[in-house]
Amino acid sequence: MAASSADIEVFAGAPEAEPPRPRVLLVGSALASGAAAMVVLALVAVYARMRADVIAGGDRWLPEDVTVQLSPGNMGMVTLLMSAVTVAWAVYSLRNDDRVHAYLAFGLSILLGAATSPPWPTAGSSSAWASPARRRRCSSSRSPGCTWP
Amino acid sequence: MTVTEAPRDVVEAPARPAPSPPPTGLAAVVGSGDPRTVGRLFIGTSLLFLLMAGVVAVLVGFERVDLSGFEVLDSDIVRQLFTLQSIAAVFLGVLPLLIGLATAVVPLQVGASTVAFPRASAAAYWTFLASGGVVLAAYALDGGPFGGDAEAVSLFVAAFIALLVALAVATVSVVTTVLTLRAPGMTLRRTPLFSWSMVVGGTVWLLTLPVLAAVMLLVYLDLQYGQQFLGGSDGVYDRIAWVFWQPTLYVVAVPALGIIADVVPVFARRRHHRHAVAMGLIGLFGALSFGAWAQIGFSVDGQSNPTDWLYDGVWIAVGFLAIVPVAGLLGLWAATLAGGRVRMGTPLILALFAGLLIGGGVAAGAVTVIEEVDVVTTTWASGQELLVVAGTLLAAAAGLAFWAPKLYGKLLPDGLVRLGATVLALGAGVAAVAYGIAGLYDQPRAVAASLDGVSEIDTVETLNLVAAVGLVAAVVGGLAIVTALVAPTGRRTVADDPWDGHTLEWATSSPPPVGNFAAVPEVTSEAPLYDARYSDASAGPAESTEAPA
Repeated sequence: MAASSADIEVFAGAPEAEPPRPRVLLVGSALASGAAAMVVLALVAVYARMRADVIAGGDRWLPEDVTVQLSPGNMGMVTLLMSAVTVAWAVYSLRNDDRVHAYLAFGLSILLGAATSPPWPTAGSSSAWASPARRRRCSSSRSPGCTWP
Repeated sequence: MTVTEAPRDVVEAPARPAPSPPPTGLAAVVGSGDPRTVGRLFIGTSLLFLLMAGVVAVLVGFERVDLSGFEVLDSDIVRQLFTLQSIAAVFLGVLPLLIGLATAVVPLQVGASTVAFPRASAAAYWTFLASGGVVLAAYALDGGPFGGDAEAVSLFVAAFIALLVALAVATVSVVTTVLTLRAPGMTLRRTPLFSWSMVVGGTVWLLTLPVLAAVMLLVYLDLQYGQQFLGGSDGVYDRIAWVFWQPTLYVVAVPALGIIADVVPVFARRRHHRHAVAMGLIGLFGALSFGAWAQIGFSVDGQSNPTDWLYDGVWIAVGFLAIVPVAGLLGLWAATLAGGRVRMGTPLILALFAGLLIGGGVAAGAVTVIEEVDVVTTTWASGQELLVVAGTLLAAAAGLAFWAPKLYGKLLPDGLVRLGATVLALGAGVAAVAYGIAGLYDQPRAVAASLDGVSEIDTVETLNLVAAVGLVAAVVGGLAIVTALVAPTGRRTVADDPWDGHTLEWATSSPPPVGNFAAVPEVTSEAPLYDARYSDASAGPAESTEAPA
């Protein structure tokens, strides 16, 4: 339906529209995202570099004697993915002004974050390589018996 | 009839609560998101860390005087202090000092009321303070690189990651401020050169610091889960040291160039010669300083692989090309000064010292990439690092002296600052030259390294003594500048624009009010206050307009 002349008269007295808000959040998020992307790129680059060095040396990847503590790593990765969900939940709750669920989501995120890197010994870190006694003894790779074979 | 009822409008008006008084004392500092407060906190804390780094450098310097052994400290402690001097100087000192200066000054320069993310900047400062303190505590617990306590080494790495995150967050806030909150009419082309240099330098920092953080994350995981890949505590410093080598070393100096470029034209009383070219040269220097690709090779046994970038075409090219923007800027500043009516104000003297030291550092870097000279692993590189870091510090000191009316509401005492800057520049220069010559005698950069290749031991020891004395002088000079910051000047008020400045920060009071500006005028050039003062606005300012007498 077309606007009547009365409607136009009403809007004629309205204040001018505000100037467009500077895209502060967009630019800030882009910069932060770029920095986060560099973290991922660096991790991938380090992995590729180490793998290439080993293969170029005629060994196989992973080297035979290296024991990768898969359990802590895998659990950490899954926990991080779960925390991504809970953080997204927190953002959604904040957007909907749902304070209770926002608290719940943030609390879960913090809990998952703490679980990702626990300060106490985990099952995966209880091997001979990572025992506290060995870590003290092998703080220097030049210590006898500590150099990777 | 007596009227007992109050008028309706009075009765229905909601009672307004009395506004709570603004916090004072400690609460005003701890809870503040004011960029000037946060910037001053960054500056003060980083200066204290810098003094500590200087003292550590002096200790390491004197331990080099007798190369047959360590006189005062244990060799393990000396190795840790050797790493601490660079880590503290760059990550606890120079970078946060520049960030603090930018947090306080950049909003004023671009005509903004505050930084883009004031709370994030404040959080970044407190994280920087806490993580910096933990880094030092980890060193005290024998947990720095080469440390003997594994848990403390892990603590160091974790705190160092937090420190990098804090610096990155503060940088995002500053860069976003320049990109989004500029005054009407202030295009990027018209942005003041310090703010522009923060965009360039900050962007490269945001591309570099996360790479270092990722590597530190891997080191942390390696320390936690078996030390099978990265060499335990002995491998930690190898993963950090690339920041102190060229080209990454140059990234700390990018904002320094911007500070010098803002100071020189004001004291030449004319516009910056070829302002647009200067912006391009700062951008080129920033692009060349991205050096995350030039890291020490990773190896599964913790030993450094031969680096495939060393003496490679790209590394050599960057080493030589880095001279171009710095030499170009030095030429532009010389042209600006030559065409103006120079007054030798304290900020200009500091800026000239800074430009010479940075130029010397970049020139020394060009020698480093010559394979036949082969000085990349010697103290030649230490001298180069010292020149670049000291030059950046002097530029930051020039910025502090220049913007002190806006930061502290006072002018710094000229005599003390000039004396401190001269002693600092001379001391750092002497130490850098001595280390450089010792490097030509093949003295290794790392302490406690093999001396098999060193020729003329006695000469090298004498040079090391000269370098140590130079470092003492540099620390004393730095102490004088810090003293000047806290010393009362005796002048209760300072003019809003004591230098006849060119850019927007001088259009407001000293110190600025909350919100910085009552009203920001339309900006029509890169030097709006210069235009208002000297030029016929209708005719438009000429590029090389000289200030009238």
